[in-house]
Amino acid sequence: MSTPRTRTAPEVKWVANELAAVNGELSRIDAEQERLTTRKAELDARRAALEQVAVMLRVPELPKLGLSVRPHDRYGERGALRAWVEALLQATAPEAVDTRTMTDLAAEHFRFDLPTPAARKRFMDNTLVRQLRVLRDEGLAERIAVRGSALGRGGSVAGQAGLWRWKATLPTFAELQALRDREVELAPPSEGFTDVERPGDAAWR
Amino acid sequence: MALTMTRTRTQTTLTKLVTLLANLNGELVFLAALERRQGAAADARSGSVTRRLIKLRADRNAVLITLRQFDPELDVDAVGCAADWLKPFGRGRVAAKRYESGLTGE
Repeated sequence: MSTPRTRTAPEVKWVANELAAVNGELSRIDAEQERLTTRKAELDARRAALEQVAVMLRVPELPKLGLSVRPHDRYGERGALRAWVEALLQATAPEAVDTRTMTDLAAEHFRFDLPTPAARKRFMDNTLVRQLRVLRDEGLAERIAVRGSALGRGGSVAGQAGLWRWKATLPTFAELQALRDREVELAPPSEGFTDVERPGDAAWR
Repeated sequence: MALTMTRTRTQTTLTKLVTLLANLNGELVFLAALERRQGAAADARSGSVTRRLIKLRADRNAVLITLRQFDPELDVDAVGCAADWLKPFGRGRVAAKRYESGLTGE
């Protein structure tokens, strides 16, 4: 005989769920507190080291000035945004990604809000595209010109998000030829074949 | 002192910090050799060397933490030893003797 089905009263169900949610939030707070305690200890040690270096640099009065700023930590650490953009472009290579999509992905990844179109545009123009231009200047990324759109410089369309992709490093013809020549030199001679008879050789020479 | 609030890292700063580390490494190596020569004697002479070693190690640790703050990817183990720390005492072996006698009081 099967056990009779029981039904939990809705108020009990609700209280159980709320209790679970509160427990979850409290454990999240405990974990965050632990992380902050560890982080504080790390920063205290770093402060002591910097104060000691100030003494070595003959400015012992520096710690007493009580200098304090709140450094910009939107992306977690120095270089985090650049690393993320590089990883994204490399992962999607050889496809290109448009800056609007990159903006959405960045906001999701770094967990910040861009509540208004103006805020989105500011982030996209001032931060994201600036970083992409740095990568372009270093030869790591390239902007794709949109064909068939005559407006704007470089084939770009006013109002259209730019397309960027990781710059592929393709070997030149001379490099490929040199590579092939090295392989031919290193390869053991095949029996019954001369150099002229090896397939593909005639095409190169 | 007028300060500009910038976290820009310059080559000058890096050179200064690395030079600091190299001189600490140099002095530590010198003192470690001196400590070995003096042996395990627990008199005032070796006490001053040991105290200086402890201070230098603490200073070195502080500079290492500072260099990691400057650039976490820097290979601090690649920094060698410099001898600028001996310059205030003169040149060559005479400088080393003066440094040693200044430390041990002999």
